[in-house]
Amino acid sequence: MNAKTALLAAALGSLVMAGAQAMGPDEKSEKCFGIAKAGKNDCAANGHGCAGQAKADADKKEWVSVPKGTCDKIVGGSTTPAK
Amino acid sequence: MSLAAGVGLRAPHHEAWRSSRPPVGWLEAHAENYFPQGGAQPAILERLRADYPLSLHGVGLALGSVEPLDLQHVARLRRMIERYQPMLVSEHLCWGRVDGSHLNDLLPLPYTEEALRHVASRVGELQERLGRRVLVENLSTYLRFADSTLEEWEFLAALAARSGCGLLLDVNNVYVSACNHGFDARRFIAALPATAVGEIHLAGHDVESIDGREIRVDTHGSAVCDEVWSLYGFALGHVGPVPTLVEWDTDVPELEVLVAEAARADAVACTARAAVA
Amino acid sequence: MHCAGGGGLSMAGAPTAGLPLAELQRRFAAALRAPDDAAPDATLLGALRDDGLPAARRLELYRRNVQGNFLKVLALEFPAIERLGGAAWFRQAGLDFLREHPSRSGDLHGIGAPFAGFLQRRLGATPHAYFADVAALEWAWQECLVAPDPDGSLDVGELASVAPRDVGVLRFVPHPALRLVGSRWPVFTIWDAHREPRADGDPPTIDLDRGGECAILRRSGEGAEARRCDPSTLAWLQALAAGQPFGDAWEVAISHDAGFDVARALAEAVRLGLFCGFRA
Repeated sequence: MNAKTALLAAALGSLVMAGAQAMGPDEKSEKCFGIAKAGKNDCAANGHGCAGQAKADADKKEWVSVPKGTCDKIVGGSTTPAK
Repeated sequence: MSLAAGVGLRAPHHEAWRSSRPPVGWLEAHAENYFPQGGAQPAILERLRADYPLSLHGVGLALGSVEPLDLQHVARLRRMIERYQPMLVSEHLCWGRVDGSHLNDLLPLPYTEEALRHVASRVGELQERLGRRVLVENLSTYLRFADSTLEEWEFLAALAARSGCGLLLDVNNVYVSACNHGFDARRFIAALPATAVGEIHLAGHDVESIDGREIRVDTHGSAVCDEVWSLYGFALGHVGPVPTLVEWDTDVPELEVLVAEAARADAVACTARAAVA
Repeated sequence: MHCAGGGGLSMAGAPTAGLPLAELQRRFAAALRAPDDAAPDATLLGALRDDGLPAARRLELYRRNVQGNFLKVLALEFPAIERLGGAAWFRQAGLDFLREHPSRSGDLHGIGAPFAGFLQRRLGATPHAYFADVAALEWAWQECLVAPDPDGSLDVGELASVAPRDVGVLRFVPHPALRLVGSRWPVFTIWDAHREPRADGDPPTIDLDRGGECAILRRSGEGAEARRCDPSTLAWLQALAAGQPFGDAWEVAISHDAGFDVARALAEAVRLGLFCGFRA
C-alpha cells in the first residue's frame, strides 16, 4: 500500500471510528442561516399588486455605469476609479 | 359540500403555521411554489396537509395560450397531486406563454368562438393528463377585445359545458371586471351553471385613477369590500354552499386578520343558508 | 365618470376583426415586453376596446404589472445585488436582463439562473466586476434553499466495508443542496453585509483587496446555511461533487495546499451532511 492510499485509508478509518460517537457541532466557523421566505409565484398569481408601480423615467441603456447603492462601501482593488 | 371557509397559504404566515392551527376549514396553495422538492416549503405543506383539506391552485399553466401545453409543467402538477392528494385543483382562464417564453401573468382572452374552442380542448387535455376534473377561474380584467362576440359569463358557461370542467368563481374578480367594464355583476353570476361552480374566491382590490378614470385593480392587498361581501351572499344563493377561500397576496397582514375574514365568510354563508331554508 | 359599456363590437374602423388568437397573443406579449419608449402597435391597439380609457393606457397597466412581477422575484433572489446597486439601478439592470433572458416557465423559481452570467458580461470589465460573483453566491443560495431532499443519507458504518486498497476509487454522492462558490473577491463578506437591511445603519466598509473567499452552502434543517471554507477544501469538495474519486480529489486539494488535511476535511464534510451516500 503506497503512502497516498495509506493516508486516505486512515482518513476513512478515523471517520468510521468517530462515526460511533456523536460528531459535535463546530461553533468557530463563520456562517449564516436562512430559510425560503417567500413564494416566488405569489406575485405572479392572482393579484395585480405590481400594476400600480411607478414606471421608470425611460429605459436607460447605460445603466451599467451607474450603480448608486451600498457598493460605495466596497473599496480598494479595481473599484478605485482607474485613471 | 359544507365546509368552513379556507385561507390561502402564503409564505409570510409559514412561521405562524409552524406553531398554530387556526380554525379555518381548509387551505389553498399556489401549486408552483411547491414544485421544488426540497427545503422548507414542501415540508410545511406536508405537515399542514395532515391537519387541513387542501386545494392546489395553479398559476402558471397559461391554458389559453395558443402554443401547446407545457407538458413538463403538467407533469409537475400531476406529481404534486399524487403527493398531496388535494380535494380541489384549479387554474385560470388566461394565457401567458408565447413562443416558449412566459409572461408569468394572468392575461385576458378575447371571448370568441375560436378562443372557446381552443381553451375547451386545452382544459380537456389537462383533465385527461391529470386524471381528474379541474376548476377554471375567472380573472379580473382591465381591457376588452374588439373581436369578442360572447360575454365572459357565456364563455365560462360554454367552457364548462364543453370540457366538463368546473368553475372557480372569484367574486372579487367579477366585481372588479364589472366595474371596469360596466356590466352587471349579478347578471354574470346568475348566468353561470350553478352545478359547475365548485369553489369561490374572495379577496380585496384597490382603486386607481388613470387619466381621471377609475380603474379597479385586483391587488389582493386589502380586506374584502362590502360590495363583494354582498355579492358573495348573492352567489351562494345561486350556487349553494361551496368551499370558499379568502386570499391575500400583497401587503399580507397577520394570519389572524385572514382567519377573521374567513370567519366573516362563514357568517355570510350561514345567513345565506338561513335565507334558503 | 361611471363605467359605461362602450360602443358596439369591433366597429372601430381598423381592420381588426378576425385577428387570429395566435397573432393577437404574439403582438400582446411583444407590447408587454417592449421598453418604455417603444412605438405602439397600431394593429394590436385596434384589436382592443377603448371604453372611455385609451387601449394603450389599459395595456400599460398589464405591462407595468408584468415588469413589476419579474422585478419583485429578481429582487427576492438577489437582495445583496439590489442593495449594492441601488433600487433604480437594479430596476434598469433587471429589465435589461429580462429582455435578454425571458422567463421560460410558468414556475418562477428558475428566472434568476442566468443573472450572474449576465452581470459578468455587462460588468466584467468595470470596477463593479465583483457584482457577478456576489450574484453567483446569491443564486447558489437560492438553489440551496429549494434543492430536492436526498433519497437517503450517508451511512458512515458502511464505509468500514471498503477495502483499504479501494479507498482511492471511492466516490461520494453529493447532497442535492450542496453548492460551492469561490471568488477572487471577498464575496462571502460582501454578501453577508448586504443581503439584509441593517438595523445598525450602513454596511461596514469592505476592502476588495482583502483577498478571495470560498463558501460552502448546504441544507441545514429545512433551510440553508453558508459558511466560509479555505480554497483547498473548496477544490477538494468541487472535485468530489463532480464525481471524481476520493484519491483524485485529494490530488486536486494538495495541489492547492500541500498541507491539506484530508482526515479533518472528510470528518467535517460528513458532519455537515455534504454527502448522502457513496459508491465503492
